[in-house]
Amino acid sequence: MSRRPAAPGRVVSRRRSLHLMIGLTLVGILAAAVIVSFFWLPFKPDDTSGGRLAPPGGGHLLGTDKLGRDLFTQLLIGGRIAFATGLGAVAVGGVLGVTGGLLAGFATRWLDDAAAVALDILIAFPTLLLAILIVAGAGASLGTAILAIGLGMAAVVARLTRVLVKQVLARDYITAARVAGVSWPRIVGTHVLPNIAPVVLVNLALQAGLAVLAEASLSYLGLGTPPPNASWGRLLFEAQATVLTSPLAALAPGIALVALVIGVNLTADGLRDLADPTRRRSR
Amino acid sequence: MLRYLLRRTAILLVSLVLAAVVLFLLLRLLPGDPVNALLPVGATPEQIEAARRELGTDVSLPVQFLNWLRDAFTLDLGRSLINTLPVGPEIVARLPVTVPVTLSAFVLAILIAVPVGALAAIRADRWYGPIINAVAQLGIAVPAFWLGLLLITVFALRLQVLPAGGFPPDGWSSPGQAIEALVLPVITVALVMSASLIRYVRAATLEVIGADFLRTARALGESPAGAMWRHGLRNASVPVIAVLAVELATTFLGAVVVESVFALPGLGSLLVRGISQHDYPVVQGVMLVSTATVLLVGFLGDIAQRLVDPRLLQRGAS
Repeated sequence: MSRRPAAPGRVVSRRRSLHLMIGLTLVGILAAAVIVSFFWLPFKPDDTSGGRLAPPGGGHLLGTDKLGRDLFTQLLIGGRIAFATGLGAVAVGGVLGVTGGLLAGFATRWLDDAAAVALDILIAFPTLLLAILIVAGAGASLGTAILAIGLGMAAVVARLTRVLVKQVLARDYITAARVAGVSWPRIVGTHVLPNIAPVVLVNLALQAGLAVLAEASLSYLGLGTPPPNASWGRLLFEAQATVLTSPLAALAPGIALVALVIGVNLTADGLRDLADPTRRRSR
Repeated sequence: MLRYLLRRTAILLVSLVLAAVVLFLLLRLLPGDPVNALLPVGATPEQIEAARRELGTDVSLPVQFLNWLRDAFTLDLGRSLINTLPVGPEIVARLPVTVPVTLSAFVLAILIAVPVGALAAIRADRWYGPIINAVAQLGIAVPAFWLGLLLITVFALRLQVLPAGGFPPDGWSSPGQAIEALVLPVITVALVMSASLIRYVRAATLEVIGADFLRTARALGESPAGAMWRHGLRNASVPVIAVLAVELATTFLGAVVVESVFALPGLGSLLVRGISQHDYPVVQGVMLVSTATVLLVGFLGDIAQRLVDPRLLQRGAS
């Protein structure tokens, strides 16, 4: 499908490739900062030598928090958590969701109806509420948060996959493959997965942005890891009390968060157009 | 329509029961025995047994579930493990905060998003088209709690025109203060919600603008605005209604987080408190009420969609 020859006169929208470029740049800069943070940090995360709530200066790019810890260092560490959440939740949600959607798409009518209803119910549980519940029970940790957000995502991905699989299975080339004696696993590998992959991957990218936002909300509510290894959501919570004296502490994590989510969303938008240039500009 | 109504009602009922099962199991499967919250350290086995009986956890899981469901139907959601107050009235007491915030934010978001989104589609070639897109793109990436924090900083701390948080202790008996307390939360939730809504409205409008029936209406002598009003609006509203049902649920959820930002005594803060204190009956009650609301809104949304576009009934789209 994606290797279809270009129609004469078809122009890939310049605006769209601009989206992709901005998106990749934003994600790339943040990813680079996170990678650097594993090798070098301006200060040790628990170094409190900077003095409490110090303004920017003296090596502290963003100043210090109420215990004297460097804020820029914490921002970098928060970036690790944001990336871990996005990637981890997409891995959990993608594997579970695609598998579940495939199974439902192949199931007999009765079972498929049941799966559709079950998925609708799961989706009716807003991801954040589900995550709050799971994190509350299993204890606040990054792993739990990723798992909980990934589970919520799996329902959405499964529903999408199910619909896509059914569309592909209705095609003539599937019937042809069946008649030619191709086994179901092989059909899934050669026909179904490649055909649903572009749409599913774009959706997963969008979900990654939502996952980062969900984790930030969890952390803000106090259901994430505490400083000095805090996520951006927690940093914002910490900054709320001192927003007038150190406004940078309340701005920087938010800006980083928004930049990452916008970057991911724009990348997904651009990829969607690359995957299907004939698609009209709509959602 | 009747056929669809029956089928959809059946699905709603099954969903409600299944959601109740999931909710019940999820909280029972969590580690930690709820009796621990009631008892001092080093309680005797007899005390533990008595506490179990009081909580109703001394019988088998299915029986517990049926008991819980029966009680839930009579709006008896059990008692808080912490302050032993009945959960049902506690939830009801918090609705006067959460419901006004959710509904006014929802209405405000529609009032913002529908004209702005439609404008972005109809006048896509004007200078403000791309700006609306960019702002909406920005808006869906902004977490509600950060926007709330920024609004507090500007309007409550710097300009000091609105309170930074809290709710008058006597609630709506002092309406002026109550409304003041809810202005920033409502704006916060509404702005976040309208960002994604603008994109849907815009997409739905674009879809309609390109449609043949609109061109036909124009050819038959309708003015552009007249054609849009008479034929475009109803067609464009179908996908938007579907999204609105989801968005109402999202608004509600946004209110849950935003309540924490503004220290409002609503359902959200009740839930967060219940979780931090491992107060299972409270968590269960709030979750049950919110899940049921979300399912019911989805049900109404589906019905409304089919009232506006009866063609959906024939396509067998479930």
